[in-house]
Amino acid sequence: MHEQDNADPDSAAETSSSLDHGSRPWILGEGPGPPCGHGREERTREDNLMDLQQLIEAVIAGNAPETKALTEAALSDGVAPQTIVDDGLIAAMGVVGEHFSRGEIYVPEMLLSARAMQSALAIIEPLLAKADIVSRGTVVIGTVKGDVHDIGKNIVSIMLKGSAFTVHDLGVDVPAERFVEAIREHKPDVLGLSSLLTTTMPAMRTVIEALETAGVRDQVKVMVGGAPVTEAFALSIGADGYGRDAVEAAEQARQLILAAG
Amino acid sequence: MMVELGTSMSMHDRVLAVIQGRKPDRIPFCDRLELWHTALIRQNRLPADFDGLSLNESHRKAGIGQLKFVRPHDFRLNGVELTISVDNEEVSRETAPECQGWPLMQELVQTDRPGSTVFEFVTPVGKISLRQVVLPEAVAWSETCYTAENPIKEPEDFDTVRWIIEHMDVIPRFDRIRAGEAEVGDFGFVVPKLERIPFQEVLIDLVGELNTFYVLNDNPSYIHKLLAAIDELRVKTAAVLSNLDSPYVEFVDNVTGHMTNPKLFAEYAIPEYQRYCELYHAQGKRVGSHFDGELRPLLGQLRDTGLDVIESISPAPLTECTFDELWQSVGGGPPLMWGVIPSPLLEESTPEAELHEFVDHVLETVNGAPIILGVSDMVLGNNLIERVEWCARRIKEHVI
Repeated sequence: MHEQDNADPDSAAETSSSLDHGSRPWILGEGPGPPCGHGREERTREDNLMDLQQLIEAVIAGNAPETKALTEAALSDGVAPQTIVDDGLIAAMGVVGEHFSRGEIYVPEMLLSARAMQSALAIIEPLLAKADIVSRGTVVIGTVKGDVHDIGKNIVSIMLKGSAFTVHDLGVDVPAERFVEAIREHKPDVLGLSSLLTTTMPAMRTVIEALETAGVRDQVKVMVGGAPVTEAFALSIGADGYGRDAVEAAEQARQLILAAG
Repeated sequence: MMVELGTSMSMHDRVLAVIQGRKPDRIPFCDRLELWHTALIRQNRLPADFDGLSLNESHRKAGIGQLKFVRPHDFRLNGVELTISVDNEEVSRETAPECQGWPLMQELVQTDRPGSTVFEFVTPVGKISLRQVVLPEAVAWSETCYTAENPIKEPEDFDTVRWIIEHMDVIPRFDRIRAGEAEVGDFGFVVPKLERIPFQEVLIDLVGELNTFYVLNDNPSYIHKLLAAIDELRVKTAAVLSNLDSPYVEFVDNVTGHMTNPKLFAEYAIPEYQRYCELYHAQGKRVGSHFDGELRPLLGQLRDTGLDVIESISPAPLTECTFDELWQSVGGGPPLMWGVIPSPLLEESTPEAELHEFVDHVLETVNGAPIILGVSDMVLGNNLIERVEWCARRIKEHVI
């Protein structure tokens, strides 16, 4: 029996909606362990220097135990935590995203890579916090009021974390007021709204209007997504961005934050 | 003005003809108005000329045949004590219950009021639970409940679910099919509704999509043993349904290529479809499945399934896959396409000209090849019935 993986420090979704789903991402284990013969006892300096490339490969392969081991090895070799994040983990997820966009891999492989990355981030984040290094940006995400679909939102959330964003997931059936509260509380760079029903898409407009009424609209970039959501709809409601899929959403978020300076 | 030629076939006969490979007198136009009908009654917005009409009468008035899904059997959960709680209050407790909708139990959820319903299944080897939620908005729009918690949440739940499945009996309820046929008459088509194929049941109902992906990687034997148990139940069900007099049966798989990607579709779904199609074909039945998601990734694999019909086909703008891509892939079948007209084109916010252009293009492209038209995924509460009526007239006047 495998132990549950608690590597993701942000695994608990905020249950700020009227529903308490009580469920959480449940993972039997972390996948296969390191390949045979990959002993740690006789590692040379050369071995350690190669770790970043091997780390990238381990993330792409979705091998969480190997990713953790290589992260620890790189740290003990004196590689700076931010370097491991930027040149190792984020670089790897970039490759994963490209493969997904080209249809060479699918959602399962992407999730396994993101899980591997997050297992490494769990080791690195305390070190980053000590060094006072900030994340790439902060995102608040949620499914709008009246809608309980969350798979797409969850995948986007995982990909954003995999791209070293700080993500606050408000869950599903989130009223507009809660989004406003979350903006005041977390001061995110990006607000992500998800809807999977044509009957709940209008709630996205309601949220944007609530942001305007609350005087916080100009503090955040708003992105929308979900199966029935189109770019035209996003423009019509005054959203700043639209993500066709999880990889595009993560990239859009990055672009919006860069553009905002 | 097009002269309406003699139409000798009923809507039922048109659908049946297409399914059985015979030419109908017109392309059948058949789908579901139930969500639209119930939503507008609840919102007090039913158009005056539909006021007081039954669902079937509404179908006849709108000109769209009534597609009615009916479960032809129940499952008896031998050795299981089922407790149902609504909003944390126990409302029933039963041993060896008989139910239509294992594992989601949706027919036991009150969808005319918001609330949270928990089903707890206690067995000699363990207990599991699942939670269905109905939001106030879902009540207003007559939408179905949502599975907030899947039954399998911990590793040991796999054994409990397998135990339940292995001890189930399949109880024929063919009287429901006959009752449904009496209800829809000649202006509709009753489809005996099967469960999902094993992989889709694990993916969507029992474990959930994301966790299925993790478990398939971490410990695939958990999934494979469960699939084997469900497969035996499907075979058992097929044996019971060999006594059902019906030309067609359908799996309610809600397939989307985003989740059941080409790799998983090839490894799990195709072999399962082929297996069950063989069983039902031997009974003289045609077999379909509900394919209402993104199909672009799966276009090259659809013919390999052995299915006769893929129902609730949902092209752009509901998904990214266009009608032309679908038609190029499987136009004329097999598998035959059922559905096609995307429900967003029936919304007031969409210019009506877009609907006209879409339907005209479909009719021109199809050019007499077999197809059953409908509204995908079904006619919703925010759809205009006038547009449904326009589609019905346009399809009826189109000579094939």
